[in-house]
Amino acid sequence: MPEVQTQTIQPDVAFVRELMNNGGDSLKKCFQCGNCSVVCNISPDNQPFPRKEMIWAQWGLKDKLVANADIWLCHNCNDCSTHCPRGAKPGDVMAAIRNTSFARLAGFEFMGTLLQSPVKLPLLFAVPAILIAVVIAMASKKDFLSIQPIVFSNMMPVSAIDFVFLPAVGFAVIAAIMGAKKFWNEMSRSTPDRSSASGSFFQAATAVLVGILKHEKLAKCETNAPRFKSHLFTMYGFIMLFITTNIVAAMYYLTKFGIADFVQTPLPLSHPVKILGNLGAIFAVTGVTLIVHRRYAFARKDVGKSSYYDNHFIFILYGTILTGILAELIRLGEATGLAFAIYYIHLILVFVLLVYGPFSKFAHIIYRFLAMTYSKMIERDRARS
Amino acid sequence: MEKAVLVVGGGISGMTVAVEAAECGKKVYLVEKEAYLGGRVSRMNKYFPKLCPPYCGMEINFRRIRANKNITVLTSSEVTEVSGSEGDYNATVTTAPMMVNQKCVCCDDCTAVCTESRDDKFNYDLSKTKAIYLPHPMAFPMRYTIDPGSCKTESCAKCVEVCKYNAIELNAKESSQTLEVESVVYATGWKPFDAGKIENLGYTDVTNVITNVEMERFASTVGPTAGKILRRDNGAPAKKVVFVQCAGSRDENYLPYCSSICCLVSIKQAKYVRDLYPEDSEVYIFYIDLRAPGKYETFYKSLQEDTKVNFIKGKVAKIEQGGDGSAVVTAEDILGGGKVVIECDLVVLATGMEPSLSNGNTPNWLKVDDNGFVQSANGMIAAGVAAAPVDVTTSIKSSTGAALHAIQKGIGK
Repeated sequence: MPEVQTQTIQPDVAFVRELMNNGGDSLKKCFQCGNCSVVCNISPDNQPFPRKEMIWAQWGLKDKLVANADIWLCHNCNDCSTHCPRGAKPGDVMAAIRNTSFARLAGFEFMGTLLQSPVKLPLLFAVPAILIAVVIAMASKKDFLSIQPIVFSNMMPVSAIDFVFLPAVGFAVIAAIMGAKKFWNEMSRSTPDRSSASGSFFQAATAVLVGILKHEKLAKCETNAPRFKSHLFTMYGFIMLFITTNIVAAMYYLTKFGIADFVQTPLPLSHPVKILGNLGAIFAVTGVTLIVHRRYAFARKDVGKSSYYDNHFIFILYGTILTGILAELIRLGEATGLAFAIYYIHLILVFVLLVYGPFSKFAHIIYRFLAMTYSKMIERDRARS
Repeated sequence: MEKAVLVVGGGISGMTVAVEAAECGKKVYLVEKEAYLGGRVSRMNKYFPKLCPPYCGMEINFRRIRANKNITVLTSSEVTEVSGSEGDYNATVTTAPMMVNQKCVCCDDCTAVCTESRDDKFNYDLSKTKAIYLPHPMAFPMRYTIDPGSCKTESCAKCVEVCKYNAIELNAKESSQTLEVESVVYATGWKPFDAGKIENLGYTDVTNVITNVEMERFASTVGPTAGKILRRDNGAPAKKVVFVQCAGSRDENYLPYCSSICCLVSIKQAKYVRDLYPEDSEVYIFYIDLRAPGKYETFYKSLQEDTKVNFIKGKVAKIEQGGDGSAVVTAEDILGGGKVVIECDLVVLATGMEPSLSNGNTPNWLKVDDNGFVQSANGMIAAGVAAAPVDVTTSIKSSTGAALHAIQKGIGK
């Protein structure tokens, strides 16, 4: 007979309720058959997910759940939910567990609380709307509406953009770093036996990045197979836009400080950087449109429901990219007032996307990357001997 | 004139209703759509509670039926219409052409000359018979029958020539009669759930995957392999056998209810394997929860003591074709902490029981629940597995109760 060990379980009932409110309302239906762990194409052989997360969720074992890399190894394919014999929807429950992490992990917890429900959304929009309006009032060129051709920096000079965005994004970066650090520490503590954690961070991170660029995990999804394409387009689109923005900023400052002499914005359409930016916009709008289409127009009613975190992130993303494209098109179409109005909304949305990013679903890029890297370091993906 | 009790279905439940009512003096019509009585139980190798071959229990019932003048057995017959109200029904029974009559003595001369063959439904299509055949070795009534779909009838008629007893009438016609009955008992039983619907369990595309009802036939000495449990691909003894519990049952995508018998069926079949190859066989039973109610616990425990029988908690979710034709089974070993992959000779899917009258087979005078189980209503009485998924013992109890209900309805009128 094996030695009998007793363990007292301290259920966190409030946490169970939080999960159920965050999209995991089906979690109590689970009867622990383990079907999900096997139909999942990306779950590891050893201690596979999501069966164990389901019982932890039912028992309210918050500490075990939130420090668990596996909730981020899950890519929300929903093959588990499709095959679940009980309609317990492990895919939705895993997403709900992840949703509780955004507010809890990032620094400046009050911000996380503000991002938790749509009630606070007007406030979140009001901050950048007022801030940017005030800056425009102070920094815009006189009569910028009547200057032809339309140049957005006549309304919001680059220096004004940086005045608003550099400290705000700086704040976001600090929050993100705090979240990343907290999550990493929790993961490390929750794995007492780390004898095999010999891999270096750098090696593991490189391998994970290559996997992400190839979308290796999403390629294995069956139920949610269309997301491979939509996510790929979105991700590459935003990578291109990110690169574009940084090049444009570099061109501006290098010219300003007399180090080089670059042509200034708006760049002509034939400029390589402009081409990159427009290409990125096309990629991003294609990807996000596909996501919106799949999630809302063609949503399956049974599995993979969209929570507030999903809706928030997707619509901010969609709004940002659409206003960006519209602003450019209307500028080229020379409809002055409308172009500036759209650009103003675009700036607000960029603010919401970036500055609130660490507290929103945008933060998945941090936590999923870290969890995958950590798992690679401890060889979580190794086949069971 | 005293009216009769109509019993629909001649399996263990219907036979029980019939003999119990008839032995109380009621006139009974026992209608069975197959050519023989005994239903699903007659197709078992062994059955609970005593693990005897089905003929044990059947023989006693056949003798009681034969000895009782109150019972009229109508095989190859179906109830096609029921009208009237409680206590006063008119039931139309249609009987398929009786191409072999009661003069048949089962000399077997006919099969020697018969040129046509058919899938043997009694063996779940795992073997073939001639177009004229004895349904199974202990058929009641003990009489040959002809499959009209396979027989070339009068264009061949070789069997008619060879039959010394004038028992074969190839031009026999379908007949129909209307019975006046005061109560109707539905004992229509079940059919095995179609395992092909569960795509990830490989029933249609992995060679060595069979169902539990097929396993009963393989294990039976009068079955297609004469009692040998063999691999389906190369006929080698199947010594490493995996049982997959809840193959369709307890799954809202298939059968949302627990079929209640499959756990014990698999434990019983594990014993078939261990008894057949005691030296070097090994068995794995993957389950969600093992359900061995009441005294069946003892049987479960006796198999637990066999170290070659492994009980693993975790539902099998993937069965694939292995390189050498073996079946490869994957499940999460929930208590062991990881996925297990087992390459084996044979996988037995513990498919559940689906009521015979589910999915469009429900007559309009009958009330069934969401899953197709018959509900006792409007004077119709449900017995055995037609009413709920239960084992043989419970079916018999249910049927005895149904017989009493049927009698009471007559008295109350």
